[in-house]
Amino acid sequence: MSLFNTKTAEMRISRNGADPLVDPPHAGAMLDILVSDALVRYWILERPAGLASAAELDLYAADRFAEVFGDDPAAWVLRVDPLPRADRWLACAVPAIFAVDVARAAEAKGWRLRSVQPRFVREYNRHCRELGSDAAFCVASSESTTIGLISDGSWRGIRVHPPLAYAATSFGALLRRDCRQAGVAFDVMQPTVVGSLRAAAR
Amino acid sequence: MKPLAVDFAPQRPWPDVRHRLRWFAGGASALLVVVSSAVWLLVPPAEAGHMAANAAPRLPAADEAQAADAAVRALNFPWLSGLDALEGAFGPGGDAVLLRVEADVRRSIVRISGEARDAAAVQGLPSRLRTLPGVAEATLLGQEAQDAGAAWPVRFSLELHLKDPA
Repeated sequence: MSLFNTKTAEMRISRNGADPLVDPPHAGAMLDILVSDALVRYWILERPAGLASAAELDLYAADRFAEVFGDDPAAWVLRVDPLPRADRWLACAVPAIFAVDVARAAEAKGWRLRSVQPRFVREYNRHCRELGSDAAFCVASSESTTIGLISDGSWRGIRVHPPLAYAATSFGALLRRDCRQAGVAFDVMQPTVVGSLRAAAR
Repeated sequence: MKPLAVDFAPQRPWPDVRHRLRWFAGGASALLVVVSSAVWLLVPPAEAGHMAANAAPRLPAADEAQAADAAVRALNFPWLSGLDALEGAFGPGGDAVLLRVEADVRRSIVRISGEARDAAAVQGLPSRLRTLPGVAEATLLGQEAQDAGAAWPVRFSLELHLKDPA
């Protein structure tokens, strides 16, 4: 857990465990919780016709989560970014122990929780304004390689792969395979790679 | 591409919107006073102006002009009148209450969230809000049911697109 020079501290939760939850420097100090993509599930939701309410969207997302990953959605917290007029939405899920229990423990210690975000979401929001309408955004970290595919300004696919340092295949091969599975043209994709292992993607 | 609106932090209501907006308006006024004072002190008096008459006037760079425009837009944003109009649209004893207001001045968007007695009340909100002066479009972003025994069991969020000032 690092306090840096800013007023907001950051707590990282990785595959190897979480940073120790220290006491805040003062009551109400701001805290961001960053969850490794190795612990997060991502998928793309096709916008269904006739969705009437946010509750229906939650049920639909949970149903697709169980179908895609075979896990009980009750143990996870699900989020969807339901952009108006988009045909596909990005959805992700974080184990409830991180999104609820750790968050509650932090607030009990006196932290004021500002955000709980997966790594890919954090990095995408930092770089999204630089991306074109056909883009492959990749977060290459020491724990995972997450590739999100955007075609014609719409989410088409997202996969979490092993870290590039240990992967048997190159970044180019991973991207080509993901594009084929998502049904998008590989040649038009403009790749943007961030993260500590971005050099391995070249 | 737009940022993803994905955050797993528990959402908390904003208990006193008007109080916080008044702080914001106060802060903006104080900033305006400080900037005006600094300009007054730093700009040379008119009598010395002829000394620099031969120098080419320095035009503001594009980023400086944009920053100034953004600051002016933020200072000119009609916070209190907008909030009054919103509170008037919801009204005391109505079928919905306003909990939170956030403005994106740069994109001329106001996001609001609140609670309503039922889903039908939420569905009627966009058309009601479109009648407010200055509102070009009102879009329902989402709604969710909470505790059925609560006085306001349906939580909702809306986005208002403001008309461009003529």
